[in-house]
Amino acid sequence: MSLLNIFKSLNDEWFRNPMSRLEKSLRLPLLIKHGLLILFSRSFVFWAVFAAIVYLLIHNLTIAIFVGFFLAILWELLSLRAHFLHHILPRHSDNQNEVIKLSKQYKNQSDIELVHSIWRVADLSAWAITNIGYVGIAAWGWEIVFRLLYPLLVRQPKLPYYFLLVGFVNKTIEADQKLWEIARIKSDKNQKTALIKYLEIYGSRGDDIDLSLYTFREQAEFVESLIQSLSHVASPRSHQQQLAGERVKHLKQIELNLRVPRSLFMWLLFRTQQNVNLREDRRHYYFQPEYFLRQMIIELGRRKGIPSDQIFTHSWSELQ
Amino acid sequence: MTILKGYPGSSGRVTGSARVITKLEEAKTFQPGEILVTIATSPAWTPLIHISAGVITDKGGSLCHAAIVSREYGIPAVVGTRTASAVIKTGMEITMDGTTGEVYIE
Repeated sequence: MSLLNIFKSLNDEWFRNPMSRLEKSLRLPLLIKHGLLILFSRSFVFWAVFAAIVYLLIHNLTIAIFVGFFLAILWELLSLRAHFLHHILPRHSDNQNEVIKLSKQYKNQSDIELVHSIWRVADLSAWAITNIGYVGIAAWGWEIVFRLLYPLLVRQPKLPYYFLLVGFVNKTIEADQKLWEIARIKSDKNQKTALIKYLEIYGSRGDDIDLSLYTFREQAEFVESLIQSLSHVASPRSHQQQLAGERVKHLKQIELNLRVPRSLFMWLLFRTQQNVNLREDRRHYYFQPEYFLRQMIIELGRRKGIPSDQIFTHSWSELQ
Repeated sequence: MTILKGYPGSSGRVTGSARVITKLEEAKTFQPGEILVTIATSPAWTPLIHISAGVITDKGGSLCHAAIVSREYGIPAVVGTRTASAVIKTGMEITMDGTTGEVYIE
Protein backbone atom coordinates (compact mmCIF):
# COMPACT_ATOMS: atom_id res chain seq x y z
CA MET A 1 0.00 0.00 0.00
CA SER A 2 2.98 2.34 0.50
CA LEU A 3 3.65 2.14 -3.27
CA LEU A 4 0.06 3.24 -3.81
CA ASN A 5 0.51 6.14 -1.38
CA ILE A 6 3.65 7.26 -3.23
CA PHE A 7 1.70 7.19 -6.51
CA LYS A 8 -1.20 9.13 -4.93
CA SER A 9 1.16 11.78 -3.60
CA LEU A 10 2.41 12.35 -7.17
CA ASN A 11 -1.02 12.24 -8.76
CA ASP A 12 -3.95 12.78 -6.40
CA GLU A 13 -6.56 12.50 -9.16
CA TRP A 14 -6.41 8.71 -9.14
CA PHE A 15 -7.50 6.38 -6.30
CA ARG A 16 -9.20 9.35 -4.69
CA ASN A 17 -11.86 7.30 -2.91
CA PRO A 18 -11.38 4.34 -0.58
CA MET A 19 -10.59 1.36 -2.78
CA SER A 20 -13.14 -1.44 -2.96
CA ARG A 21 -12.11 -4.78 -1.46
CA LEU A 22 -12.37 -6.51 -4.79
CA GLU A 23 -10.16 -3.99 -6.55
CA LYS A 24 -7.64 -4.21 -3.71
CA SER A 25 -7.49 -7.99 -3.79
CA LEU A 26 -7.93 -8.74 -7.50
CA ARG A 27 -6.45 -6.01 -9.68
CA LEU A 28 -4.17 -3.98 -7.40
CA PRO A 29 -1.66 -6.85 -6.97
CA LEU A 30 -1.67 -7.24 -10.77
CA LEU A 31 -1.12 -3.50 -11.23
CA ILE A 32 1.85 -3.68 -8.87
CA LYS A 33 3.19 -6.78 -10.66
CA HIS A 34 3.04 -5.16 -14.09
CA GLY A 35 4.38 -1.88 -12.74
CA LEU A 36 7.42 -3.64 -11.29
CA LEU A 37 7.91 -5.59 -14.53
CA ILE A 38 8.06 -2.32 -16.47
CA LEU A 39 10.53 -0.83 -14.01
CA PHE A 40 12.84 -3.86 -14.07
CA SER A 41 12.56 -4.59 -17.79
CA ARG A 42 12.79 -1.04 -18.99
CA SER A 43 13.44 1.90 -16.66
CA PHE A 44 16.09 0.31 -14.43
CA VAL A 45 17.74 -1.40 -17.39
CA PHE A 46 18.23 1.87 -19.25
CA TRP A 47 19.41 3.54 -16.05
CA ALA A 48 21.94 0.78 -15.39
CA VAL A 49 23.23 0.79 -18.97
CA PHE A 50 23.69 4.55 -19.13
CA ALA A 51 25.22 4.66 -15.65
CA ALA A 52 27.66 1.91 -16.66
CA ILE A 53 28.69 3.80 -19.81
CA VAL A 54 29.24 7.02 -17.86
CA TYR A 55 31.18 5.15 -15.16
CA LEU A 56 33.47 3.61 -17.79
CA LEU A 57 34.21 7.11 -19.05
CA ILE A 58 34.71 9.01 -15.79
CA HIS A 59 35.17 6.34 -13.06
CA ASN A 60 32.96 8.18 -10.56
CA LEU A 61 30.07 6.04 -9.34
CA THR A 62 27.95 8.83 -7.79
CA ILE A 63 28.09 11.04 -10.87
CA ALA A 64 27.54 7.99 -13.09
CA ILE A 65 24.34 7.11 -11.18
CA PHE A 66 22.92 10.64 -11.41
CA VAL A 67 23.90 11.25 -15.03
CA GLY A 68 22.72 7.75 -15.94
CA PHE A 69 19.32 8.55 -14.40
CA PHE A 70 18.88 11.71 -16.47
CA LEU A 71 20.06 9.99 -19.63
CA ALA A 72 17.54 7.21 -19.01
CA ILE A 73 14.74 9.78 -18.71
CA LEU A 74 15.94 11.47 -21.88
CA TRP A 75 15.98 8.10 -23.64
CA GLU A 76 12.42 7.41 -22.53
CA LEU A 77 11.26 10.85 -23.71
CA LEU A 78 12.75 10.15 -27.15
CA SER A 79 11.62 6.53 -27.50
CA LEU A 80 8.34 6.02 -25.62
CA ARG A 81 6.05 7.26 -28.35
CA ALA A 82 7.47 4.79 -30.89
CA HIS A 83 7.36 2.05 -28.23
CA PHE A 84 3.66 2.86 -27.63
CA LEU A 85 2.74 2.86 -31.33
CA HIS A 86 4.77 -0.17 -32.46
CA HIS A 87 4.72 -2.47 -29.42
CA ILE A 88 2.17 -1.53 -26.78
CA LEU A 89 -0.81 -0.67 -28.99
CA PRO A 90 -0.56 -3.78 -31.21
CA ARG A 91 -0.26 -6.02 -28.15
CA HIS A 92 -3.14 -4.19 -26.44
CA SER A 93 -5.25 -4.68 -29.55
CA ASP A 94 -4.61 -8.45 -29.40
CA ASN A 95 -5.36 -8.44 -25.67
CA GLN A 96 -8.60 -6.55 -26.22
CA ASN A 97 -9.66 -9.08 -28.87
CA GLU A 98 -9.13 -11.79 -26.24
CA VAL A 99 -11.19 -9.78 -23.72
CA ILE A 100 -14.05 -9.43 -26.20
CA LYS A 101 -13.88 -13.16 -27.03
CA LEU A 102 -14.09 -14.04 -23.32
CA SER A 103 -16.92 -11.54 -22.85
CA LYS A 104 -18.98 -13.48 -25.41
CA GLN A 105 -18.29 -16.84 -23.74
CA TYR A 106 -18.51 -16.19 -20.02
CA LYS A 107 -22.26 -16.71 -19.58
CA ASN A 108 -21.86 -20.29 -20.83
CA GLN A 109 -18.78 -21.03 -18.75
CA SER A 110 -18.74 -23.09 -15.57
CA ASP A 111 -18.00 -21.27 -12.30
CA ILE A 112 -14.35 -22.40 -12.35
CA GLU A 113 -13.91 -21.29 -15.97
CA LEU A 114 -15.55 -17.96 -15.16
CA VAL A 115 -13.17 -17.40 -12.25
CA HIS A 116 -10.20 -18.08 -14.57
CA SER A 117 -11.63 -15.76 -17.22
CA ILE A 118 -12.11 -12.97 -14.70
CA TRP A 119 -8.55 -13.34 -13.49
CA ARG A 120 -7.27 -13.34 -17.08
CA VAL A 121 -9.21 -10.19 -18.04
CA ALA A 122 -8.12 -8.48 -14.80
CA ASP A 123 -4.52 -9.31 -15.71
CA LEU A 124 -4.94 -7.91 -19.23
CA SER A 125 -6.62 -4.82 -17.80
CA ALA A 126 -3.77 -4.31 -15.33
CA TRP A 127 -1.27 -4.73 -18.18
CA ALA A 128 -3.09 -2.05 -20.18
CA ILE A 129 -3.31 0.43 -17.30
CA THR A 130 0.36 0.11 -16.35
CA ASN A 131 1.96 -0.13 -19.79
CA ILE A 132 -0.22 2.47 -21.46
CA GLY A 133 -0.12 4.61 -18.31
CA TYR A 134 3.71 4.43 -18.33
CA VAL A 135 3.76 6.15 -21.71
CA GLY A 136 2.44 9.19 -19.84
CA ILE A 137 6.08 9.83 -18.88
CA ALA A 138 6.61 10.99 -22.47
CA ALA A 139 3.39 13.02 -22.61
CA TRP A 140 3.96 14.88 -19.34
CA GLY A 141 7.74 14.88 -19.65
CA TRP A 142 7.77 16.70 -22.98
CA GLU A 143 5.18 19.22 -21.78
CA ILE A 144 7.17 19.97 -18.62
CA VAL A 145 10.39 20.40 -20.62
CA PHE A 146 8.65 22.67 -23.14
CA ARG A 147 6.99 24.69 -20.37
CA LEU A 148 10.34 25.25 -18.63
CA LEU A 149 12.18 26.19 -21.84
CA TYR A 150 9.42 28.32 -23.39
CA PRO A 151 10.29 31.64 -21.67
CA LEU A 152 13.98 31.05 -22.57
CA LEU A 153 13.24 30.28 -26.21
CA VAL A 154 10.70 33.03 -26.92
CA ARG A 155 11.00 36.75 -26.24
CA GLN A 156 7.99 38.16 -24.37
CA PRO A 157 5.45 35.50 -25.33
CA LYS A 158 1.93 36.93 -25.42
CA LEU A 159 0.10 33.69 -24.73
CA PRO A 160 0.84 30.68 -22.49
CA TYR A 161 2.90 27.86 -24.00
CA TYR A 162 0.00 25.41 -24.13
CA PHE A 163 -1.71 27.41 -26.88
CA LEU A 164 0.85 25.73 -29.13
CA LEU A 165 -0.19 22.26 -27.95
CA VAL A 166 -3.96 22.31 -28.47
CA GLY A 167 -6.25 22.01 -31.47
CA PHE A 168 -5.25 18.49 -32.51
CA VAL A 169 -7.63 15.60 -33.03
CA ASN A 170 -7.31 12.89 -30.40
CA LYS A 171 -9.45 10.08 -29.02
CA THR A 172 -11.14 12.38 -26.51
CA ILE A 173 -12.30 14.84 -29.19
CA GLU A 174 -13.17 11.94 -31.49
CA ALA A 175 -15.38 10.29 -28.83
CA ASP A 176 -17.13 13.52 -27.88
CA GLN A 177 -17.61 14.46 -31.55
CA LYS A 178 -19.29 11.12 -32.32
CA LEU A 179 -21.62 11.53 -29.33
CA TRP A 180 -22.50 15.04 -30.53
CA GLU A 181 -23.33 13.63 -33.98
CA ILE A 182 -25.53 10.95 -32.42
CA ALA A 183 -27.40 13.67 -30.49
CA ARG A 184 -28.41 15.13 -33.87
CA ILE A 185 -29.95 11.96 -35.30
CA LYS A 186 -33.64 12.74 -35.58
CA SER A 187 -35.03 9.21 -35.68
CA ASP A 188 -35.23 7.72 -32.17
CA LYS A 189 -34.67 4.20 -33.50
CA ASN A 190 -31.59 5.18 -35.52
CA GLN A 191 -30.25 7.22 -32.62
CA LYS A 192 -30.59 4.27 -30.24
CA THR A 193 -28.80 1.95 -32.70
CA ALA A 194 -25.99 4.46 -33.19
CA LEU A 195 -25.70 4.98 -29.43
CA ILE A 196 -25.37 1.24 -28.76
CA LYS A 197 -22.53 1.00 -31.32
CA TYR A 198 -20.92 4.13 -29.84
CA LEU A 199 -20.97 2.74 -26.29
CA GLU A 200 -19.40 -0.53 -27.45
CA ILE A 201 -16.38 1.46 -28.65
CA TYR A 202 -16.22 4.42 -26.25
CA GLY A 203 -18.33 3.34 -23.32
CA SER A 204 -15.75 1.70 -21.09
CA ARG A 205 -14.38 4.99 -19.81
CA GLY A 206 -14.12 4.89 -16.04
CA ASP A 207 -14.24 7.46 -13.28
CA ASP A 208 -11.24 6.05 -11.40
CA ILE A 209 -9.22 2.86 -11.22
CA ASP A 210 -11.71 0.85 -9.19
CA LEU A 211 -13.85 -1.99 -10.46
CA SER A 212 -16.73 -0.97 -8.20
CA LEU A 213 -17.32 2.23 -10.22
CA TYR A 214 -19.77 2.25 -13.10
CA THR A 215 -18.33 2.80 -16.53
CA PHE A 216 -19.72 5.48 -18.83
CA ARG A 217 -21.98 3.03 -20.68
CA GLU A 218 -23.59 1.89 -17.45
CA GLN A 219 -24.75 5.41 -16.60
CA ALA A 220 -27.91 5.33 -18.74
CA GLU A 221 -29.57 8.43 -17.23
CA PHE A 222 -26.36 10.46 -17.54
CA VAL A 223 -25.89 9.43 -21.18
CA GLU A 224 -29.52 10.29 -21.98
CA SER A 225 -29.22 13.72 -20.38
CA LEU A 226 -25.98 14.30 -22.31
CA ILE A 227 -27.68 13.47 -25.61
CA GLN A 228 -30.34 16.10 -24.85
CA SER A 229 -27.75 18.73 -23.83
CA LEU A 230 -25.49 18.10 -26.81
CA SER A 231 -28.16 19.06 -29.33
CA HIS A 232 -27.87 22.69 -28.14
CA VAL A 233 -24.10 23.19 -28.18
CA ALA A 234 -21.34 23.64 -30.75
CA SER A 235 -19.50 20.52 -31.89
CA PRO A 236 -16.21 19.43 -30.31
CA ARG A 237 -14.67 19.56 -33.77
CA SER A 238 -15.55 23.24 -34.11
CA HIS A 239 -13.69 23.93 -30.83
CA GLN A 240 -10.74 21.89 -32.07
CA GLN A 241 -10.64 23.71 -35.43
CA GLN A 242 -10.91 27.13 -33.78
CA LEU A 243 -8.03 26.32 -31.43
CA ALA A 244 -6.01 24.95 -34.36
CA GLY A 245 -6.44 28.28 -36.15
CA GLU A 246 -5.40 30.23 -33.06
CA ARG A 247 -2.40 27.92 -32.64
CA VAL A 248 -1.21 28.65 -36.18
CA LYS A 249 -1.63 32.42 -35.66
CA HIS A 250 0.18 32.27 -32.32
CA LEU A 251 3.05 30.28 -33.85
CA LYS A 252 3.53 32.88 -36.62
CA GLN A 253 3.92 35.60 -33.96
CA ILE A 254 6.33 33.47 -31.94
CA GLU A 255 8.52 32.74 -34.96
CA LEU A 256 9.28 36.49 -35.14
CA ASN A 257 10.44 36.52 -31.50
CA LEU A 258 12.62 33.46 -31.14
CA ARG A 259 15.89 33.53 -29.22
CA VAL A 260 17.07 30.26 -30.83
CA PRO A 261 17.23 29.02 -34.45
CA ARG A 262 13.78 28.32 -35.84
CA SER A 263 14.72 24.74 -36.74
CA LEU A 264 15.61 23.95 -33.12
CA PHE A 265 12.40 25.48 -31.78
CA MET A 266 10.26 23.67 -34.35
CA TRP A 267 11.98 20.35 -33.59
CA LEU A 268 11.20 20.76 -29.89
CA LEU A 269 7.65 21.95 -30.57
CA PHE A 270 6.86 19.11 -32.99
CA ARG A 271 8.15 16.44 -30.57
CA THR A 272 6.16 18.03 -27.74
CA GLN A 273 2.98 18.21 -29.78
CA GLN A 274 3.30 14.57 -30.87
CA ASN A 275 3.88 13.28 -27.35
CA VAL A 276 1.32 15.51 -25.64
CA ASN A 277 -1.35 14.32 -28.07
CA LEU A 278 -0.67 10.79 -26.86
CA ARG A 279 -2.07 11.70 -23.49
CA GLU A 280 -5.73 11.79 -24.45
CA ASP A 281 -5.36 8.78 -26.76
CA ARG A 282 -4.01 6.70 -23.87
CA ARG A 283 -7.04 7.17 -21.69
CA HIS A 284 -9.33 5.67 -24.32
CA TYR A 285 -7.26 2.49 -24.55
CA TYR A 286 -6.47 1.61 -20.98
CA PHE A 287 -10.11 1.59 -19.88
CA GLN A 288 -11.24 -0.65 -22.75
CA PRO A 289 -11.41 -3.92 -20.74
CA GLU A 290 -13.20 -2.27 -17.81
CA TYR A 291 -16.86 -2.77 -18.75
CA PHE A 292 -16.35 -6.41 -19.75
CA LEU A 293 -14.49 -7.20 -16.54
CA ARG A 294 -17.27 -5.67 -14.45
CA GLN A 295 -19.94 -7.68 -16.29
CA MET A 296 -18.06 -10.92 -15.71
CA ILE A 297 -17.67 -10.15 -12.01
CA ILE A 298 -21.36 -9.25 -11.72
CA GLU A 299 -22.23 -12.58 -13.41
CA LEU A 300 -20.10 -14.46 -10.86
CA GLY A 301 -21.88 -12.58 -8.10
CA ARG A 302 -25.26 -13.45 -9.59
CA ARG A 303 -24.35 -17.14 -9.57
CA LYS A 304 -23.36 -16.88 -5.91
CA GLY A 305 -26.48 -14.94 -4.98
CA ILE A 306 -24.58 -11.67 -4.35
CA PRO A 307 -26.31 -8.50 -5.66
CA SER A 308 -24.33 -6.44 -8.18
CA ASP A 309 -24.02 -3.48 -5.78
CA GLN A 310 -22.45 -5.67 -3.08
CA ILE A 311 -20.12 -7.93 -5.02
CA PHE A 312 -17.30 -5.40 -5.03
CA THR A 313 -17.28 -5.35 -1.21
CA HIS A 314 -16.04 -8.95 -1.29
CA SER A 315 -12.42 -9.94 -1.68
CA TRP A 316 -11.25 -12.05 -4.60
CA SER A 317 -10.47 -15.02 -2.37
CA GLU A 318 -14.05 -14.97 -1.05
CA LEU A 319 -15.43 -15.12 -4.58
CA GLN A 320 -13.20 -17.86 -6.01
CA MET B 1 -16.61 38.21 -1.23
CA THR B 2 -14.84 34.90 -0.80
CA ILE B 3 -11.85 34.14 -2.99
CA LEU B 4 -10.76 30.55 -3.50
CA LYS B 5 -7.23 30.00 -4.74
CA GLY B 6 -6.12 27.12 -6.89
CA TYR B 7 -3.77 26.53 -9.80
CA PRO B 8 -4.39 28.08 -13.22
CA GLY B 9 -5.44 25.13 -15.40
CA SER B 10 -6.73 26.80 -18.56
CA SER B 11 -6.82 30.53 -19.21
CA GLY B 12 -9.92 32.68 -19.49
CA ARG B 13 -12.49 34.30 -17.23
CA VAL B 14 -16.18 33.47 -16.95
CA THR B 15 -19.10 34.28 -14.66
CA GLY B 16 -21.93 31.84 -14.31
CA SER B 17 -24.02 29.51 -12.23
CA ALA B 18 -22.14 26.76 -10.39
CA ARG B 19 -23.17 23.11 -10.43
CA VAL B 20 -21.44 20.95 -7.83
CA ILE B 21 -21.16 17.33 -8.92
CA THR B 22 -19.01 14.95 -6.91
CA LYS B 23 -20.13 11.68 -8.52
CA LEU B 24 -20.96 10.89 -12.12
CA GLU B 25 -24.39 9.61 -11.00
CA GLU B 26 -25.31 13.24 -10.16
CA ALA B 27 -24.26 14.54 -13.58
CA LYS B 28 -27.66 14.08 -15.23
CA THR B 29 -28.76 17.40 -13.63
CA PHE B 30 -25.96 19.39 -15.31
CA GLN B 31 -27.10 22.09 -17.75
CA PRO B 32 -24.98 23.37 -20.67
CA GLY B 33 -23.25 26.65 -19.82
CA GLU B 34 -22.97 25.98 -16.08
CA ILE B 35 -19.65 26.03 -14.29
CA LEU B 36 -18.69 22.49 -13.29
CA VAL B 37 -17.40 22.19 -9.72
CA THR B 38 -16.09 18.78 -8.72
CA ILE B 39 -13.41 16.90 -6.82
CA ALA B 40 -11.56 15.71 -9.94
CA THR B 41 -12.42 14.65 -13.46
CA SER B 42 -11.55 11.56 -15.46
CA PRO B 43 -12.17 10.30 -19.03
CA ALA B 44 -15.85 9.61 -18.26
CA TRP B 45 -16.34 13.33 -17.50
CA THR B 46 -15.07 14.79 -20.78
CA PRO B 47 -18.54 15.19 -22.39
CA LEU B 48 -19.52 17.30 -19.35
CA ILE B 49 -16.44 19.48 -19.75
CA HIS B 50 -17.40 20.00 -23.39
CA ILE B 51 -20.75 21.59 -22.40
CA SER B 52 -19.42 23.54 -19.37
CA ALA B 53 -18.61 27.23 -19.26
CA GLY B 54 -15.68 26.49 -16.93
CA VAL B 55 -14.29 23.81 -14.60
CA ILE B 56 -13.19 24.04 -10.96
CA THR B 57 -11.68 21.07 -9.14
CA ASP B 58 -10.51 20.27 -5.63
CA LYS B 59 -7.66 18.02 -6.71
CA GLY B 60 -4.99 18.04 -9.37
CA GLY B 61 -2.23 20.33 -10.57
CA SER B 62 -1.85 22.46 -13.68
CA LEU B 63 -1.39 19.34 -15.83
CA CYS B 64 -4.30 17.34 -14.42
CA HIS B 65 -7.05 15.83 -16.55
CA ALA B 66 -9.49 18.72 -15.99
CA ALA B 67 -6.89 21.31 -16.99
CA ILE B 68 -5.81 19.46 -20.11
CA VAL B 69 -9.32 18.77 -21.41
CA SER B 70 -10.45 22.32 -20.58
CA ARG B 71 -7.59 23.61 -22.74
CA GLU B 72 -8.70 21.33 -25.55
CA TYR B 73 -12.15 22.92 -25.36
CA GLY B 74 -10.87 26.47 -24.82
CA ILE B 75 -12.71 26.97 -21.52
CA PRO B 76 -11.23 28.28 -18.26
CA ALA B 77 -10.21 25.89 -15.49
CA VAL B 78 -9.08 26.44 -11.92
CA VAL B 79 -7.71 23.24 -10.38
CA GLY B 80 -6.35 22.05 -7.04
CA THR B 81 -8.47 24.41 -4.93
CA ARG B 82 -8.86 21.69 -2.24
CA THR B 83 -12.19 23.06 -0.98
CA ALA B 84 -14.27 24.24 -3.94
CA SER B 85 -16.77 21.37 -3.89
CA ALA B 86 -17.43 21.99 -0.18
CA VAL B 87 -17.50 25.80 -0.23
CA ILE B 88 -19.40 26.41 -3.48
CA LYS B 89 -23.05 25.40 -3.60
CA THR B 90 -25.11 24.58 -6.68
CA GLY B 91 -26.83 27.66 -8.06
CA MET B 92 -24.30 30.19 -6.71
CA GLU B 93 -23.21 32.88 -9.17
CA ILE B 94 -19.43 32.71 -9.28
CA THR B 95 -16.63 34.20 -11.34
CA MET B 96 -13.63 32.11 -12.15
CA ASP B 97 -10.32 33.22 -13.65
CA GLY B 98 -8.31 30.39 -15.16
CA THR B 99 -5.37 32.72 -15.86
CA THR B 100 -4.78 33.60 -12.21
CA GLY B 101 -6.27 30.47 -10.62
CA GLU B 102 -8.87 32.33 -8.57
CA VAL B 103 -12.58 31.84 -7.97
CA TYR B 104 -14.70 34.72 -6.68
CA ILE B 105 -17.85 33.94 -4.72
CA GLU B 106 -20.21 36.80 -3.80
